Amino acid sequence: MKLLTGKIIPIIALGLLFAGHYIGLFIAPTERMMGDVYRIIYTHVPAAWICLIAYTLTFFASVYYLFRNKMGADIFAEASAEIGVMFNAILLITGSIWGKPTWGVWWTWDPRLTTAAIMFFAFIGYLALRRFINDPERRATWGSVVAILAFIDLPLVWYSVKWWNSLHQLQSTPQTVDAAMVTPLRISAFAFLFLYIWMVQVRYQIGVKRLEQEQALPNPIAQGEQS
Amino acid sequence: MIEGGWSFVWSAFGISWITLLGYGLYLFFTASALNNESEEEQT
Repeated sequence: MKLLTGKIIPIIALGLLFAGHYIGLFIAPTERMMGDVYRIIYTHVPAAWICLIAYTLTFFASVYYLFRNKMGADIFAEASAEIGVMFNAILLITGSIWGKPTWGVWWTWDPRLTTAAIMFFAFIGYLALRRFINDPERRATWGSVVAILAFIDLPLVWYSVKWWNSLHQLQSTPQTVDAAMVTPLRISAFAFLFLYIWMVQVRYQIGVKRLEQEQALPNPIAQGEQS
Repeated sequence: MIEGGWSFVWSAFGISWITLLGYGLYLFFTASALNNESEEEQT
């Protein structure tokens, strides 16, 4: 299992990333309206999908922690959220770069963009909160509550283009997009998914080690009470 | 049709690759440092 996550998964991820992005950049046809600028889709959309998956798993791990009190669930929630924030940053930056040539602006307070930015800052807040609480149990409980609250924004991000008059286009489906464009999109999405699996596994191990080190340290409050 | 635009495409891909690489290296070196620390504690 360790061999799978340690070496094979990152190799598969990098292979898929190279293939997906190469086909997307050089082989996929040019889009009729947007020209070559549309090729940003091959990094923007997979980042969006994996970001939403990462935050959803953080949500489920947080709910699981609150019900079962397993520290492993909390460590996983933090790991997944941190990687989600990284993909969220890619999503926002690439979206902004795509917006300039197509909409004429780097940023606009459109419902989709605004809810995606709120999601980013909500999970940054979740990660920041965890740094301020020293007690692992309290940190896990408060972190779980904040993660669940932050997750409320996810359906708003997904449905914002349907519910409100958004500048952002509706979600495309394989039926509405040329097959030559869908294939590199799927390959790139699987590349990001494998990268997520590798990163979350490594980040989880880091979280376990940090918790072990924390628990090995003498508790300063308890020491103060004894003296 | 929007003409050109390759500079936007390369910027978007470049930032994505740098972000992924940067975070990947951060994870790799942090995990390596923690492993070394725990090995030193054991010896």
